Order: sequence, then C-alpha cells, then structure tokens
Amino acid sequence: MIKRLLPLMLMLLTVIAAPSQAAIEMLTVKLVKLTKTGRVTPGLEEVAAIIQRNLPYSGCEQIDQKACVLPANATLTFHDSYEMKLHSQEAGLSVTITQKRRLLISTRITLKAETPVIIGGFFAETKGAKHIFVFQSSQ
Amino acid sequence: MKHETLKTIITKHAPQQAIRPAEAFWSECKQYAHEQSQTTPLSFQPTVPRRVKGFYPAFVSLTSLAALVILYFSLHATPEIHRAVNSFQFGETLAHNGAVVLNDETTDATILWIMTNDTEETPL
Repeated sequence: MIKRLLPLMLMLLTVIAAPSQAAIEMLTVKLVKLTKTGRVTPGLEEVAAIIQRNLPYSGCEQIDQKACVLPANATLTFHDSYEMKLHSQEAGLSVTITQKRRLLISTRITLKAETPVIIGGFFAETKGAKHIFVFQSSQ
Repeated sequence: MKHETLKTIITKHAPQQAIRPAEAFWSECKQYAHEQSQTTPLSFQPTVPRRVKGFYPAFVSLTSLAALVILYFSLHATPEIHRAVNSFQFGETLAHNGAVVLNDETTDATILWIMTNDTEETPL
C-alpha cells in the first residue's frame, strides 16, 4: 500500500515545491567597456546592438560579471574598483555605484524580465572608451 | 347570570322589527341588479406607455455604437509607460554632469547615459 502511494506523494511534493523553485529570480550585472572600434564579446551581441542603435559605440567588451538573487540586498565588487550596493525596495531596485569609495551615481531602477537596463558613461582608462553596467534579471 | 336569562332579557328589550317577506327582498335585489349589471366587466384599461416609433432600432443602434466605442478605446488605450529608471542622483565626482535616459524601441531596454565633460558623443 505504501509502495503504491509513494510515487503519488513524491509527485505531490514536486508540485508543491515547484512554485517556490520557479520564484527564484536572479539579477546579473555586467561591467562592459564600450569602444569606438572594438570587438564584441561573445554573449554581448544583444547589448552591443542596443548600444549601436542609440550611441556612437561599436565595441562592447565584457570586463566583469556578478550576480545575485532578487530581491537583492547585496554589495557587488567589480574590476576597476567599482562597488555596487543593491537593495530591493517596493518602488524598485536601489542602485548605488561607487568607484574607489567615491559615489558616482545613486539611482532606482525597475527591472523587467529579460529586458536589460544599462547605466553608464563612466570614465574608462582607455581614451574614448566608457564603462557601462548592464542589469538583467532572469528566472 | 345564566345564558338563558340574558337571552330572555335581550329579546324582551330588543326593538320590534317587521320581518320583510322574502319576495319583497328578492324583487328589490333584482331591481338593483338591473340598474348595475354585475355580469358586464368594468371598462378598465391599464395605461400602457406607448413606445416611440422606431424605439427598438434606435436602442440597438446606440447600444452597438457604445460597444464599438468601448472596444476601440480598450484596444487603443495608451499602455502604461514602463519606467525602468525612476530617479538618479550624482555623486561629487560627476556632480557637474548631466544624464539622459534613452529607450531602445526594439528591445524596450533603457539606458541611463551620463554625459561627462569629455563626451564628444551625443545619443544617436
């Protein structure tokens, strides 16, 4: 009797557990260097296309990438001494970006699944290049 | 006081009434019945509101028009604007710079682009 019921119980547990697993949302933040004429890092084609349509940059090179779980309450550190504090609020995701402990920008963004939000235009070491952060949430 | 005693007293003191013959009673009834016929129904006509001519076609037309208007506005309603960047504040490093929020129509992506002093580029 128990042997017959065991698969059914397992199925029920799977069904109950499935929504909690599906609810996990991840936030990926990429530090990208934009250049006038440079290569596009594989995997950044979509971001590059967005940049090329709206800004006079063609090169799109990934420098660093970090991720955290949403809702976020995390501090991410990136290459070039960037530090990013993320804090999920009711009104959106609070983002504070500092470099070498100096505040660059503090903003609040609202993420839509699979739709990137880009914050950038920060100085890069290379002349004519700029740094951007690409935020993208995914389940 | 007993019931029989009461009956006797009441009968004794009751006014004397002449009992009418039955024929006289019924002839009087027939006379009144002739004056006001009870078989004929009263001429009662309920007041029914008169419909305006063409009421139903006009009603159907107006209802259809209203439904079409509602359908049109529900289909062409302006979608709620998704604001990916709600507000921003610069630190001291970028205090004298400006920023522009760009929306990529193809992907609906949003770019918060900081216009720095050395920015020779402007958004396309």
